[in-house]
Formats: sequence, C-alpha cells, structure tokens
Amino acid sequence: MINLAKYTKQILLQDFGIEQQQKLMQSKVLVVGAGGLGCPALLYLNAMGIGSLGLIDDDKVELSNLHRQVLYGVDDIGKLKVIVAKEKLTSQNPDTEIIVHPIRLNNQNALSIISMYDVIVDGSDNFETRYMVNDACEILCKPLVYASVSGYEAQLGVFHLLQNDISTSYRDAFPIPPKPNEIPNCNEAGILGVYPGIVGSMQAAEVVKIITGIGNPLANRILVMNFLQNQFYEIKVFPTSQYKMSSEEFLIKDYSLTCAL
Amino acid sequence: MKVTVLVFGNLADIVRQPLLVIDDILDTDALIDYLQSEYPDLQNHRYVVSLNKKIIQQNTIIHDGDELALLPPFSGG
Repeated sequence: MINLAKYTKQILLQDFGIEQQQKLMQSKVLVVGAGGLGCPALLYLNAMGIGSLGLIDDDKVELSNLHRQVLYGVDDIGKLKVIVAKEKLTSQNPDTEIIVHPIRLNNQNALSIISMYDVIVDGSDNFETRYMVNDACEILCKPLVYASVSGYEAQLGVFHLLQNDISTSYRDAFPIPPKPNEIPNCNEAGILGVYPGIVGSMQAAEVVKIITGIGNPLANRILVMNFLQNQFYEIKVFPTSQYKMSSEEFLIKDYSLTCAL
Repeated sequence: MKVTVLVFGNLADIVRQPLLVIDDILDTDALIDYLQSEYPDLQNHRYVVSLNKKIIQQNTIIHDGDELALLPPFSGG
C-alpha cells in the first residue's frame, strides 16, 4: 500500500484529490529521450507519483550534457543514461515502477514499446524519432506531449488527444520533415540549461492534466515560447487530412529517408 | 493596409529581426513570395505560416491588421 502522505500538498488542491492522485498512481507514462527535456519531465512525474515510468534512450552521459540534463553528475559520465536515471529516480520515489529501455526507438520496436503506456512524452532530439513517435502514437491512439527547444525558443503541444471532437497530429502542424542539417540541433545551435528544464516541466504538467482530467491540456495547439523576450505565442492546429497510417505501413517506412526528402 | 509578421527560430536570424511590418500584401502566397525575394535564404528553410494564430496550409487572403507568423520546426531536446 502506497502512503499517500507524501502527496498531501497536491491532494489539498482544489479539483485535485485522492481520486486524481490514484489516477496518477495507476498510470503508465513513457518518456522518449532522457536528455534536456526528459530529465525534468522524469523528475517531476516521478515525484508526483506516476505509477510506472518508462525511459527509452541508448545514449551515455557526456560532460556537455550536465548543464541541462539534471539527473546526472560528473561521476556518471560514460554510463548509460537510463541506468543512472533509474537509480536517481528510485531514490527520489521508490514507489514508482521504473522501466528502462536502453535502446534506440525504431519502427520495428516502437509500436510494441509505446503500446505498453498510457501517455507518451517526446523529449527526443531529432526529427526521425519525432515523426516516428508521432506516427506510432497516432496508430495506437496514445496522447503525445510534444516539446522541442532551439536556441532561446521552445515549442510545446499535445497531439492525438480528442478535444472539442478534434484530434490533431504533429504532421498537421509540420507536414513535411525538414532536410538533414536544415534545422540546427542543441549541439549546433547551443542551448541555455534552464530552457529545456522549463519546457520538460511543462510537459510533466500536461501529462498530469491528461491523466487526471483537470484543466485544459494544450491539445490541437502549439505554444511557442521565446525566453529572451518572455513571449508566449499560442497557435491553433487543425486536422489536414483523413489519411491515417496503418501499422503495416509504419513497419516498412524508412524514417531516415523521410527526413532526407 | 498593414500586417505584422512574427518570425521564430533560426528564421529570425535570416530576416535579422523578430517582427516585420508589411504593406499591401493580398494573400499568404504573395507574402511568402515577397519575403523570399527580400530574404532569399528563407527558401532553404522549412516553416509553416500562421494567420491570426491559426496554422494555414493553403493560400489565404490577408486583411488589414492581420498577424502572421513564420514557424520552423525544432528538433532539440
């Protein structure tokens, strides 16, 4: 029996009670990428009492990760991120079941892994994975909490969640994947440590709304943030096509080629 | 007639400012043609256009006072 005492302060909240806490404790959330966005999302989801947390990442901790990937320290350099993360998260909240997938998500393993979870958090760092996670969530009807960062800006959105009878896909916002090297990643453009910290925390907050039903998740919208100007700009996304990819198509799709087109 | 165009991400580096004010543009296709002739490097970048905070995927008439935005996808995480 899990002691609810540690969640007293969130159970106290108006509209959030034992029922909502129990929904969190019965839920399974997958965080794709244990990096700049994934670390804060994992820390808060774990602290708030999510029942099972899945982590998928095949990277090892590097010195240049530490300014933003706050689950890791200098002693962890060279170790697998998911292994270090599991140890830290278990010490933070031993009641969460931590499931590690120390592999790279691909179109052969994505459907079986994603189908194990209720909500998916995209904290990946490349378009190949982002489009693949989006398509897998569409096929499996799993809510997707998307975020990405670039320079001093970030984007946040929720897809594949029915709101006002509409559900949209990342592809409804960005139908055509960019060419390789067209969009700078964190390694090329640089990133201030706290920005993915803010946005990964916002992803965790969206997950809570989706699971418990409180508030208004950012479905069918993208919130664009510029942290230098403190500018928040919300854009509506609309369904663009009736076409839905089948799992058979997904399994033979070459995502590296898609991104090269 | 004047419209404002907000420019996000690395596109702001190309147009060298986060906000443009543009006169006498009929529709979004004409706006994109104009911007790409003024800032040719925009042609090398993928982005979507929003009109009054709604993403549009096809040519749309622009009215006085409308607010547009150019939004590139980000991959960083």
